[in-house]
Amino acid sequence: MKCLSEKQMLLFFYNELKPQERKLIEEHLSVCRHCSESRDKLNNFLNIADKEKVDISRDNLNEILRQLKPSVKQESALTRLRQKLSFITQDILAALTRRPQIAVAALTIIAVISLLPVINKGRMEMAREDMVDIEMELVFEDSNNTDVMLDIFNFDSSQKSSSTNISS
Amino acid sequence: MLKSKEEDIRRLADNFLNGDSHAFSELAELIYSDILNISYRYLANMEDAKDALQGTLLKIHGGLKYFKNASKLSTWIYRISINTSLDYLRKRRSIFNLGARFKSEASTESSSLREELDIKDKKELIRKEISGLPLRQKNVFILKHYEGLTIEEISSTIGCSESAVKTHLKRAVERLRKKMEVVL
Repeated sequence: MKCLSEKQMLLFFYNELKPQERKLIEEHLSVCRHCSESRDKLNNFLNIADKEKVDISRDNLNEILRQLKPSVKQESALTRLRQKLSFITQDILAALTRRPQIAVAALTIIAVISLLPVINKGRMEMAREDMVDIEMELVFEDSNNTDVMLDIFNFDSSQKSSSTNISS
Repeated sequence: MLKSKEEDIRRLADNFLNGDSHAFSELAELIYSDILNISYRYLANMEDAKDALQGTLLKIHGGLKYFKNASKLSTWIYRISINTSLDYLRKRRSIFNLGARFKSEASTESSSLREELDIKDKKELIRKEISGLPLRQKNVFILKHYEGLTIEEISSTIGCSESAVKTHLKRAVERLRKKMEVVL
């Protein structure tokens, strides 16, 4: 087994490892001096962090509970609404944390819904461009026809002018 | 939190919601110590911790009827307790940073400081350094080290993945050790 990472040592200290992994680490610590020294240093440090619990007297607690009652009665409708919204938000966040796939699905739906107008706008513009192309083609065809007619006209007029010249 | 305690909390909360006026006092007696200690870890001051305890109990009293069983009731109570403590912390901006004072003194005469500081001072110093940790690291360290919650329970209390909880815990300990190395 390789030497232990800091995270492994920490999880070992807090008893957060699976039994099999814990056993492997215990075996390693019994043979690796470097790791066992590091473990001792970490233990010394964490044992300094004061775990003593603080407490208040029963009188203090009763006083807090006594003061709680008028405060509860004085709550305004706005405070109650704010409190309700706060708890609902907390519940939603907690549910999303437990099942992130719901959050992913919701975000996908929101993204699709918000992209729909953009997609539709793109389609409308494409349709408009198609219409412009068709119109232009029609205009082009019309102008071609006009050119042909003008050619015919020119042909007639040139013929007329040449015949006039001949007669003159 | 122990399974039997969780069941007691649930039962008292149900009794309170069914109109038993004494049930909330019993519930408060059962949970006040956990709430008080969490608040004390965040606020590092007993008077502020008592105020935060009162604020938390008030929110629980008003909010129990909206609790939707989306999590364990104890997790929900921890979450309210943390949020209330953080609200008080935001209100009270001027936190006396004992750690900074010790650090500046330590830079000039660390060996003498090491001798001067007894174990009680070190405990006090570490408590002050915890209040200077980034929020997520502080949440994780307090819930793990002081409250003894499992990684899984912390994950659902503060709303992040278990691997993120482990990373925050590691970073919190690294940071605290670095800050404390001059006095240890």
